[in-house]
Order: sequence, then C-alpha cells, then structure tokens
Amino acid sequence: MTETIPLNVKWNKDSFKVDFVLAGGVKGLKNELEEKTGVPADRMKLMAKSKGLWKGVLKDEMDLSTIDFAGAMTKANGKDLQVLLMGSAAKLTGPKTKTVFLEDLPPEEVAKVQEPSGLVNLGNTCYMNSVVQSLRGVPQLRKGLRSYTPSTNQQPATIGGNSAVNGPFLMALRETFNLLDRTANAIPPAALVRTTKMAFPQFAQTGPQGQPMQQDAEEFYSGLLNIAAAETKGKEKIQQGLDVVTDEELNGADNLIDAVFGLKMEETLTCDEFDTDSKMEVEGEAASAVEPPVKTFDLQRKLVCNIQGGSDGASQVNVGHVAEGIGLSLNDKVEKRSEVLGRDAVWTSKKRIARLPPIIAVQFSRFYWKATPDSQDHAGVKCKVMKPVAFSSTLDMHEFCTESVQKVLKISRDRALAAEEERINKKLNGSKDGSGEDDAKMEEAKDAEAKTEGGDAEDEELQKALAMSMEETPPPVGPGLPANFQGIYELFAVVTHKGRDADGGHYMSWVKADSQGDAKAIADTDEQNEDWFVFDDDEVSPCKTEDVLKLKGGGDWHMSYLNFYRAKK
Amino acid sequence: MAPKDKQEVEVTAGADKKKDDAKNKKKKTEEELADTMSDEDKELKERLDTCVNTVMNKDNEDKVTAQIRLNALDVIVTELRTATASMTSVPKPLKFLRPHFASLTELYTVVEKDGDGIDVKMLELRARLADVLAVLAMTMGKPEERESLKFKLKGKKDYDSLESKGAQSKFAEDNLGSWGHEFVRSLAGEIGQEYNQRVIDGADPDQDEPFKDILQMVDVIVPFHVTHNAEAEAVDLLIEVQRLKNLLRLESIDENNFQRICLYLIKTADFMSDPDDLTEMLETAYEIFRKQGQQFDALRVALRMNRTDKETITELLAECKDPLMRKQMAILLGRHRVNHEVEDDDIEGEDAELLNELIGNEKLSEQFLKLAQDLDVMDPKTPEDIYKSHLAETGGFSRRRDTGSANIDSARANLASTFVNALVNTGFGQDKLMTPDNEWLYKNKDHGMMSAAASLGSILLWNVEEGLTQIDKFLYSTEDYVKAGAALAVGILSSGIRNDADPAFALLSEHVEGDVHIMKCAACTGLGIAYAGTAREDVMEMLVPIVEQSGSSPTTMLEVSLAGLALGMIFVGKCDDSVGGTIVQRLMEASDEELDHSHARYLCLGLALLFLGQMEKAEAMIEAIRTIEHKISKYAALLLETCAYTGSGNVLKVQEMMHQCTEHLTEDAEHQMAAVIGIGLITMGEDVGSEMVLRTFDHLLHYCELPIKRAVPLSLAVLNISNPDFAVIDQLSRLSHDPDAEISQNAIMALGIVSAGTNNSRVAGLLRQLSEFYSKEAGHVFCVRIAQGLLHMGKGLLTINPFHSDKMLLNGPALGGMLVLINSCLDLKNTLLDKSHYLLFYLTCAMNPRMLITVDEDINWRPVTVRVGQAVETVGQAGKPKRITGFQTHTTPVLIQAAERAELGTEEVLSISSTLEGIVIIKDNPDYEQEEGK
Repeated sequence: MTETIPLNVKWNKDSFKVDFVLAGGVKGLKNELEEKTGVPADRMKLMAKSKGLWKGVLKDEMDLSTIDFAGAMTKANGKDLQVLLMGSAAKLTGPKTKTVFLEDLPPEEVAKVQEPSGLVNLGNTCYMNSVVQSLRGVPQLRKGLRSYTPSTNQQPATIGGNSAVNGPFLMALRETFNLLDRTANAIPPAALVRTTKMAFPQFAQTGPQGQPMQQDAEEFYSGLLNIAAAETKGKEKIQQGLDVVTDEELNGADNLIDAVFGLKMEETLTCDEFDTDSKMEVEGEAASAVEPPVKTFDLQRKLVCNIQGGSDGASQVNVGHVAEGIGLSLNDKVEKRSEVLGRDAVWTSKKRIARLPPIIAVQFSRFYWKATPDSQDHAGVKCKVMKPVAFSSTLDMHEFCTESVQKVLKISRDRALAAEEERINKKLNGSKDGSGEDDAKMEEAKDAEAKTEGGDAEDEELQKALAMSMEETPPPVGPGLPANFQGIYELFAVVTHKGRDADGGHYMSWVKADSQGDAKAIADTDEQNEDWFVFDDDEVSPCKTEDVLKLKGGGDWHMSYLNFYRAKK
Repeated sequence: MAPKDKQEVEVTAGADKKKDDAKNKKKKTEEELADTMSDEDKELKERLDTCVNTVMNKDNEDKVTAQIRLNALDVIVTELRTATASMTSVPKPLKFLRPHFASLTELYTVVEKDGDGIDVKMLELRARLADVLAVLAMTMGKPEERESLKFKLKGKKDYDSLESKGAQSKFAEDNLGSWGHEFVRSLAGEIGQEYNQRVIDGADPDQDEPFKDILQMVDVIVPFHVTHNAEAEAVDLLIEVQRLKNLLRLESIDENNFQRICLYLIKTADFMSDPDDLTEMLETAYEIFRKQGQQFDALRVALRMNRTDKETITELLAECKDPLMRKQMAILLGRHRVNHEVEDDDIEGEDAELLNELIGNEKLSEQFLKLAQDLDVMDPKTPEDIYKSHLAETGGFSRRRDTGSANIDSARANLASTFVNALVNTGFGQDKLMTPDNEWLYKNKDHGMMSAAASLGSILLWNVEEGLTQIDKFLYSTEDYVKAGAALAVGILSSGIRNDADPAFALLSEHVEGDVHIMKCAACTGLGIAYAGTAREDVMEMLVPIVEQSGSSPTTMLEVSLAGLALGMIFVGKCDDSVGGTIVQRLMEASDEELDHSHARYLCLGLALLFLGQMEKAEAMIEAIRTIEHKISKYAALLLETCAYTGSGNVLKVQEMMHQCTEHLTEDAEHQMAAVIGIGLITMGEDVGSEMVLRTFDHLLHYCELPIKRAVPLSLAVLNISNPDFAVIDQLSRLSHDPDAEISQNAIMALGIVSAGTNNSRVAGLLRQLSEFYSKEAGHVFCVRIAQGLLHMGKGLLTINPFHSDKMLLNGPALGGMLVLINSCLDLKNTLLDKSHYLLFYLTCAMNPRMLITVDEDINWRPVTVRVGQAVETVGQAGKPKRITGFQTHTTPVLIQAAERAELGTEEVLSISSTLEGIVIIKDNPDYEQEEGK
C-alpha cells in the first residue's frame, strides 16, 4: 500500500502541501509535519476541513482504510483536501513567583496592606477614638506599652489614680492598638471603654436618657498620659520606649510619658512694677533694690495655643497662627508678692522650653467659660471659639526655647542653612556652567572678592560655631531626638472638633499615613508624603495634607483641637 | 363671509343632535346667507336648485323625460366633482344641496320601489342618483348608518343590472375615485365598519361570497390609494377586510412604492394582536419583496418571521438573480448567525464556497482588525488605562501604595482586571496581560485562573485558526482550571464563526464526555458560546446526556444547568421538541435541593431561550412547567413567557407582568424579578412601548418591595442595550447609590450594559466615581470594574445590541447571551461574584462590530462618503422623506451608534443592501453623471 493523498495542511497563518503516505499511518503524517512546523507530534491535533473525512480530532490509532479519501476528493472538486493543524511548540511555563492573594492572608496581614482600621463608636466615644487613633502614631508610646505589665499593688495611689484601674486601662489600650494592627475591619473598643470609665469616673456620666455623655478629648488625653506616666516610672521603662537615653538627655524626666511628651519649662518671673516704674526714678540709685527675676522649672505635657480675640474683649493680640497662640500662652501676668516692694505686684511670667520632647501636643484652647452675669443664674456658659487659627505642616520651636537650648539648636540650624546655601550655589553654578565658562570665572572672582571684603565677621562666627560642633558634641536638648535636631517639628496627627457647642459635637482624627501600623523610627518622613487618613470612628478614608491644613476653623467644618507634632530630622 | 361659513359648518357637523333646535336658526341663516351671497354663488345655488327640481320632477310633468332628468343630475354631478377636489372648506355645491338631501333621499326611496322593472334610462337615473346621494351622505348622513356606502352599493347593483341589460353606462367606470380622495377615504372607513358588522351578524370572514359587493369596491379603492400615494390607507383597508393577500394581485405596486408598502406592513405588524395577522402581514411583505426581485429584503422579512429553515433560504438565494445581492444576503445571514449551508448545486453558476465563507463569518476577524487599524486603535489597553485611577481624587494615593514593595495581589481585583482586559481587547488579538507571557495567569486564583485562560478566547475572538495555536499550550497545563479555561477559550474563540474543521466541537467533545467536573462545565459553556443559534444536532446529542444525568450533588446540578443553558443557546428560538422535552423532564424530576441551587435558574433560562420570540408556541411548555411543585416553577414559567413574547410589544402581556408585581413579597420573589425583566423584554425594540414602560418603572420603584426594585435597573438595561440614553443613565446613576447593595450592584452592571462598547464619557466618569465611592465593598468594586470593561468593550468598536438591520431583526444568540448576564444579576453573590464568573463570556455571543464598511463585489474595501445621523421614523409617510437628521458626513469605515442610521452620501454608487450596517456591498451607479465642472 503505497498510496499517497495530497493534503493541504493549514497551520496558524501558513499552509503546507503534504503527501499523506497512508502506509505510514497517522504517526507518519505527524512526524512529517513536525519537521515542517516544529510542533511536537504528540501535541498535534489534526482536524479535517474538507467534508467527508474524519470527524473531530484525528486519532493516532485511526484506521485509515475507513476514511473515504476518494469520496472526499470528488466532493472537493479536484482541489486539495484541506486539513487544519492545531498545536504549537510553545510550552506553558509555571509561575515565576508564587502569587500570594489578599484573600488568603490572615487578617493581620490584610490589615498591613489595607487602609488602617477604624474604631466603632460605642456611644459618644468619639473623644476616645480620635485620641487613640492619634496616639497610635506615636511609636515610643506603643513600644513602651508593649512590654508593660501592670505593677503589683505595692505603690499606693499616686498622681494618676490607683494602679488597680491603671493597669487594666493601659492593658486595654495596648490591646486596642494591637487589634487595630491585626484586623482589616473596624473594631469595637469595648474593653477600653470599660476600663476608661473605671479609671475616669467622670467619663461614665450619663445623660437624662441614660445615654453616655459627650466628653472632652483633651481631658481624655491628659488623663491617659497621667495614668501612663504613673505606670512607666524609672529609666528602665523609659528605655523600653526610647531606645537609648542618657540622664543628661532626660533632664529630669522620670517616666516615659514625660520623656516622650513632657516639656520642661523654665519660667522666669520678673516684677513689672519695678521694671517700669522704678527704672527711671531710681536709676543707678540702688541696684540692690532691683527685684531679681525668679526662675522656676515646671513640667508640661502639652503646649496651649491661646486664642484671644473672638469674644474676649480684653484681648490685645489677634491670634491668626498657632505660633502666635503658643507665644501668647507662654507669657503671662500674675499677681505675686514682691519682697522688695513689700506688697503684691504684677509679675510677668515668661516660660521657655528647657527640654524638648520627641512629641509635642498643642491644644487649641477653643473652649472657655464665659461668665454671664446678666443671666438668671449668673452661672455663665461654656463656649467655643470658632475663629480660624492657621497652622502649617511644620512648627518651629526655636523661639520658645531657653537661650541655652537655642544655642544648641543653632549649631545644626546653621549647618543646615549652610548646606542649603551650598546646594543652591551649586545649582546656580551648575546651571551657569552651560552658558559660558567666562561667566563662571567672573562669578568665582566676585565670590572671592565678596568673601574677603564683607562677610568676614559673620563667616568667622560661623566657622567658630562649626568648629565648636566639630570638636565637642553639644549638650542634648531632650531625649529621643534625632541627630542634628534643629528644633523643627512636623505635624502628624490632628484631633478635630466639629460643632458650635462646647458640650456636643463630633471628634475626628486625622493622621499622617506613614505613621501607621508597625511604625518605624520617628521622623523617618518623606518630604513628598502628602497622604493622610481621616478616622471618623469606624469610617476611614484617605485625604491629603492640603485637606488637613484646611482644619484651621472659622466655619462649621471640623477644626483642630489637638495638634500632635513630632521632631523632624 | 368667512365667519358665516364657519357657522354653517358647525351646524352641519352637529347636525344630529342639534337638528331640532337648529331648524329655526338655520332658516334664519339661510336668509342671511342669501343676502350676503356673491353673485357667483347665487347663480350656482339657483342652478343647483333648478337641477334638483328637474330631477325631482314633483309635478310629474311628462315633458320632463328621464333623459332630461339625467342631464340635470349630470350637472349636479359635475358641480360636485369639481368642488370635492379640495376639502379645505365645505364645498359650495354640497352646501347648497344640503337642503335637498332629504327630498332627494325620498325620491330615491320612491324610485327604488319600482325594482328592476323600470326602463334603462330610469335605471341609469336611479344609479346616478345613488352616486350623488352617497357623496351627500358623506357629510349629511348619520355616521353609524353608513348611508354613503348603502347608496353606493345600491348604485352598484343598478349599474350591474344595467350592464346585464346590455346598456353600458358612461358613469359606471369612474364612480369612486372621481369623487375625490375624501370621499374614497370615508367610504373605505364605512366599508370596514360594514365588514365587521357582517362578521358579527354571522358571515364567515373566510368566504368571499357574503362580502362580494364590498370586496368589489375594495378592489377599486385599493389600487386607487396605491396609485395616489396613500399606500398606508390601502393597507389599512385590506387589513380591515382581512384580505391582505389581495395586495399581491395588485398591478399598481411597482418599484416606486413597494418599499413604502412593505415598510408600512412590517411596522404595523408589531401592533397586530393576533399572531396570525402578524404572520400574514409579514408574509405579504415577504411576497411583495420577492415579486419585486428584492430577495435581500425578502430575506430580512423571512428572518423577522423566524423562517431560517434551509428550504426558504435556499429558495430565496436561488431565486436571486444578482450575484452581489446573494453575497449581501450571505452577509446578513452571517450577521444574524444563521447556520445555513449553501450546497454546490443550489445556485447555478455560483461559488458556494464564497457564500459559505460569508455566512460563516470566516473573514470577520480580518475585517474587524482592518477596521481597528484604520481607526488607529490597535495598541492594546491595560485595565489601568480603563480605570484611570490617577484621575480619582484619592487616586494618586492608592497607586503609590500599589507600586510599593509590599504588593499583595487581591484575587478578586485581579479577576476583575482579567475581565476588563478581556473585554477591552476583545477581538484585537493582542493585549498586555495574557498574550505576552503567562505571569498574569498565575495572578488569578482557581476559578479565576479558568476565567483568565478563557479570556484568551475573547482577546483572539473570531480569529479561529491563529487563535487555536496560541491557546494550544494551555490545553496541556497540569492545572485543571487552566485546562478548563483553555477549553472554554476554544469555544469563545469560535463564537459565531463557522470553520470547516469545526475545532470547538472536535476539541470540546472529549471533555464533555470526560469526568472532570470543571472541564465539563467549561466544555458545556464553550459549546454553548461557540454554537449559539446554530441548532446543531450533533452538539445536542452530546449535551443531552449531561442534562439527563442524575445525582443531587451541587456539582451535578451545576453541570446539568450549564448543559441546559448551552442547549438553550444553541437552539435559541428554535422550539426544538427534544431539547425542550429533555430540560423540562429534568426540571420535573429534580429534587427540591437541586432546584434550590442558585444555578438551577440557568436550566430554566435554557428552556426559555428555546422559545425566544416564538410567542404562543411556548404555551404548552408553560403549562408543563407550572406542574412543578417548587417555587422555581413560577420563575421558570414567567421567564418562559417573557422570553416567548420578547420584542413583541404585546401590551396585554406587559399588564400580566405588572399584575405579578402587585403582590408584596420580600422573599421567594424571583418570579417577580423575572416579571420586571420581562416587561423590559416584551417592550424592547418598540419605541412607544419602551418609552411608556419607563414611567411604569418609576411606579415600581415607588411602591414595590425590594426584590422588584432590584430587577428594575436590569430591566432598564434590557431596554437600552448599548444605547446610553441620557435619562436612563440618570436613573441608573441614582439607583447605583441606593443603600440596598443588590439594587446598587445591579444598577452598576446596568450602567455597563447600557453603555457597552460606546466609550461614553459621562458613564466613564460616573463609574470612576462609583469605584471610589464603593472602594471598601469588594462586590461593588467588581461590578464597577466589569461595567467599566463593558463600557470600553472592544475599545468602543463593538456593540451588544441584539437588534440589527435597521432595528428590524432580533439576534437570538445576542439576546440569549445578554439574558445569561441579566439572570445572573438576580443573584450576583452566588453567581458572578462567586465562582461562575466565567458565564460572563456568554456575552461574546452578543458582540458585533458596530461598523459600517463598504466593499466592492470582491468584498474588498471601497471607501465612499456616507451620512450618519439620528434615525427618523418614516413609516407611513408619503414620498421620499428624510430618514436621518442632524447628520455628519464621513468616509467609510465609520462606527454607527444604536439610534443612528446611515445613508450614502454620493450618487456615484448604489448599495445592494437596503440598510447600511455592517458590511455593505456597493456598486457603481449606471445612471450617475458626473457633475459639470468636475
């Protein structure tokens, strides 16, 4: 049997003419095709296009004698029999990397890649939710709490209440933080609410219908820090939060909270009357008669931004920016006995920061008690100041520091300034390079002239400072601050209040995106990062820095109440 | 003069009621009239009065012979005729003859008594008098008494007896049309009334004998209408007397008016309540087209009547003398997915192979790719190009996070991207995810992998031979899901394409018979997609055993359902007994657990699809389905009924469906959802009905329970497939923000369906907003993604609108594919949002390029200028009205939107096809003369 059938095999876009040697069987045909197309014979599927041949895919063991080639050829009207070849030499490769699917991950892994989860409002608990979400972005606190074990009842009740309720409260706080990191969905902070009410009975108040009352976020914040401070005493505990600290850095802070949030304030009191009145009268008369300024040190866990103006008729300064408000609050007048005058006199109190912490909280004193002598009960009302107080994404603390701290800060500030100048110069020169070498030379010459002529004095000073910084490390200005700290802080969380009423409304927190989850070292910030999250209880949505800067107030929109800043590298 | 005239008209019009009160008044007005009449009028009045007196011959004077009376009557006739030419105001002669109407009638009754035994002259007088009275009765007779017709018939009898007596009257010939159009029209109306009266009185409408007299008159009136640009009236009259077939005998139908007549017939057919009438009208149009040598149009009508049998088509093709028209017919058959095979000896001197190639859509891929090249849209698009998340307000954020190192893939998000990729790059043969390498495949999970592999079929759509080579390697995968996906891809690839090698059948048959569950599912679905509408017996034989298999595990039911659905798609609208029997048998024998399975709906849908558009043919099956004792029987019965009446515009059925919605159910309300979708199905394609139904939906949204509301967006989608109507988008956008998740998900899907393949920027914006709004809801996001994919389907070159050929033909497979999606939406979370998302690929059956390309006799491109504009309804309008408005002139190829129509922009060429859609063959116009100066 040497009969051959001419076939026209179509494969992909090409077609081949093949003589089908029947004696060779299907295998023979496939082998021949393999030579032409490169398709492995076992991957070939042959399908008849002309009618009257086989049906479906041609099988290897097909008995060729059952195929009516002659009949098919007559049907094809003398044209070649058409066959379609399906197959390719390409092989399916497996995956290069195993894909991990979000759906397969345990919830804690999901929480890492997703937007941070929110906290369910368990009955007017937005004051708590907002503060907790903001503090979640403070890694020092998180770390400190991580190894926290409630102290046994050795100590009697201290500042922040007794440890029988402090322990569970801090444990619940830690657990809430951990749960937030682990779950992808909003969680109800039931344990935290319960322990909060135990630790702060005032938060357990209920309204006439038995509903929980609305509370002040700042009150919660202070209370929380008090408890935490009481429970984290000792250097060991401080070091759990801040990796390496020296006593010099701590500068008097004896617990983690004071180390992280505490500001050591130097208060200088000078007697006003003496200053103004006697200076002219008794000039040179008796230097001993001058009342010496009194210096005291104090600890604060927040800065207050005073908002005068508004309805305060006595105000002198119209506060428009947060720095003005802080400055205002640091200068005060008090009535105090003057030994020299032998009577009570007005003293000016001037507070300056002697120790900077890594985290600074600024409270906008928007709520105040307004006396209403004309009202029936003469009681007065709690009011909210709605006027706008702008803030930017950074806050320079330099001007609020003591001189000694300022001196230290200046070193790195000058250095940074110099570096910046150099950078700009380089850039300018670099761009001019292209224009012509002559120009560049001229510039250089001018520069040299300028150096020799004018800037001598300043330069020298700078050189001195630089030299000093080279020689010895300056004294630290606070614990846990980054190297070369310039006293600049950046905004990373805002607790806002919405509502015209001081007793009601809604708190939300706005937290910078990179400080979420398993937070890395602080101040590891990307200049370009503009992403924030809004935590409206269980609703979390993304937003931008520009949205946050709009929270300055002055309308019915949310306005900042607590601003959290962290030290900037 | 004018106001008085008006008064007179009023009096005449209200003649009946006011007769008594008006008598006195009339006298008065007549006197007044006499005073104010012009000399001319006075003269006319006098002349007429005299004539009437002569005719009356009250005094019986002998000298007034019959001949004189006849002459007098003749004067009246002439006056009347010259006056009735215009009917804008009451003709003077009519007005002046009015007072004599009663006396003339009286005279007639007197002469009538004489019977036939009077002399010829008197007979002629009587006949003539009857004519005049008939005209006068038009305005003066009582409307319901049909006096006009009565006189006419009596006159006719007299003329007949005159004839029998051998005396030819000169008036006999022109006693209808000569009285003017208004008279003929009014007479036609009375004929209709008379006909109905006789039927009511017991005459058999099938016999001509009882109506002989009026039918004779019809035979005169119809040609009169046809020759006087009043085709619609002619058709109406014939419909009225149920003698539509008479049109075929009409000599006066010629190449100038057959288009108008047929258009009127086809469009009016939709309003026939009786299916027999409908068929008769279409049948008539079909015959007229054939007589006129317009086999292409005849084929359209045949397809409209669902006559896709081999004999009809072969006969039509053989009858067609023009080889170009034969090709055009083959193209139409291909577009309608009719599996007709031309044998070599069917047509003399014709290459059957070429026609088969056209019918089998073998070159569709080639044409589509050429179109894409011409429009410069060949570059593959990524899903991100569609999502455009950088435009979203929070977009930059999520993107930055996505590209971060900790990049975790979401299987659902990737699956959505797989589908978007498949939809957007449909038919282009290249993309950026699936064809370059296999990495993307593994970024999908389990069933997702199956869909990903299957998406290759969509990307390589219609390009069978090259596509197979690319898919081949996936068939050898060790992973069953990939293998199943590849098998499905083979099916998708060959959707609507006939290849002699029949690869889908050859490759899928082994898997259908195999025992791997997922492969079976894929193979069944693949066959359903590949052979939708082909009614292939061999495929049926393979699938029937799958449907028949028993075993109550959920996997078995899934196989059964998918096989049933595939059968339904393959035999869509074919009413096949054995398939129907098999499925209904399986439904009846199924246990309750099986029917509770969410996929059981597909088995019901398969059954319903068999009867798509077949109307009363589904009745028996509906009865059979009702015997099932499970809640699904109601759903299945309604699904069946609505599918059967799809596109019929049957108002009674719509009311029936509305009635279903009156019950307030919150659960087990699937049948109500089917009813709501059914309202959309029944009214689809019929403009007035679908407009009205929009209001109905508003009511449903107001007053009904959730299940019904959930179906409303789907029904809206059915009404506007690939037709983003402004108002509908508005409504859907509103619903897409509904607090009920299912309403909003369905509305989102509906947005996709409504805008499918249009690239509509408004919908694109809406969907982008929705993707942000629902960014937390995985199900919603998936729906939004699918909708976005649909919107940009085939980069805007495709449509899934099942109507084509000037909205006249409903493509069964296309609607079937759509219904699979729509019914899946009734329970999204157990179907598309779960594991059976691959059923989305049934949509490929509905996909078609929304192109218009003009080709020469060898099917090579031949660009010409065309005008594309909003389609205008021209039915029943005389002359050659404008068919489009607000048009723009383009050079082919062009894309055509759902509500648009195209016409040739040059006299230079003639198109073979009467509708410019898809591929149109054009030839040189032999009568074209180049404009001077060119």
